[in-house]
Amino acid sequence: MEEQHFIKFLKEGTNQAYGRLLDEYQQKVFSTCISFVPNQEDAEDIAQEVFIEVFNSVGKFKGDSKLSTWIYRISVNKCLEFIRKKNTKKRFGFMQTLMGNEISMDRSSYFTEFNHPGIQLENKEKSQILFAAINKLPEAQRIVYTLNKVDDLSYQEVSDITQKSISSIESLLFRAKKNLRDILHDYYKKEGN
Amino acid sequence: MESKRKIDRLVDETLESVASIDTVKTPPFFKEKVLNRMAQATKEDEKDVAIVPWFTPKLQAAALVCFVFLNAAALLTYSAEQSYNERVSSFAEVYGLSETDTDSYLYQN
Repeated sequence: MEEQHFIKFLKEGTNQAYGRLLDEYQQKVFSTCISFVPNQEDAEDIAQEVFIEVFNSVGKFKGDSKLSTWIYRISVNKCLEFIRKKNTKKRFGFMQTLMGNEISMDRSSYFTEFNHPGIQLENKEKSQILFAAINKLPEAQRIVYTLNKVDDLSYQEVSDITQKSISSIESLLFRAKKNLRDILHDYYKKEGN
Repeated sequence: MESKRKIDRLVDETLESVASIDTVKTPPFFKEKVLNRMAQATKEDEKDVAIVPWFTPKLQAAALVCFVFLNAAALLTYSAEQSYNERVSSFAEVYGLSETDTDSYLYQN
């Protein structure tokens, strides 16, 4: 079925169209959600929210981008919204903000309980440290790094989702890696290695 | 020097750990749960629409304006009809602050 026809069926709200949409996209959406939020329950809730949002706003979808790109964008936005909310709750640093202190990387202040079934036990600690470090990156770098390195999407896909050129993606990735190195270096130094 | 090298190694290992993350399968019954939520959302929408489908926001605003206008008009008419003295005497009468025929009637008994 051509994408335009499929979108038309989605706009009509037929159960069959949504069944097909879920068959095609549930894995992709869930993978993106768990890449941003490494907790299975939270990722499932966010993924559900993504499909409800698709259901509610497909009428406004003009077809300027591919359906998959649009769904990925909703997924990323929903994840960032969730992280922002959780980070605000966790951050008791209004004093720190007032004093202009930067919050150091601390796994205990991570926005969710780490529960990623795709991470093997021997890598769990290192992955946990990495995710905490990713959470300290500026948003644009965090999005590009997570989509490309954690969710394994191509530069082209990341470029479509973020609506940035491939050279911008490369530059953001370069800066993200450099910043991650610095954050991790500081972390291990403080840990006393 | 040795410590710096150790930290560099740990940083590399941490950055490389991302490559060993396996794909996590969508939880069971995910599709059913989402379809259920969609069906519920549709039902709620239908219910909302079914109560007063013709009472659109435009009509609601017009009704509100009419209501406010009628109330204001009634208030103005009412206050223009009654003079200040009339209102004071009726107030006094209600709270027993004025002498009326009923007072003398009570005392007479």
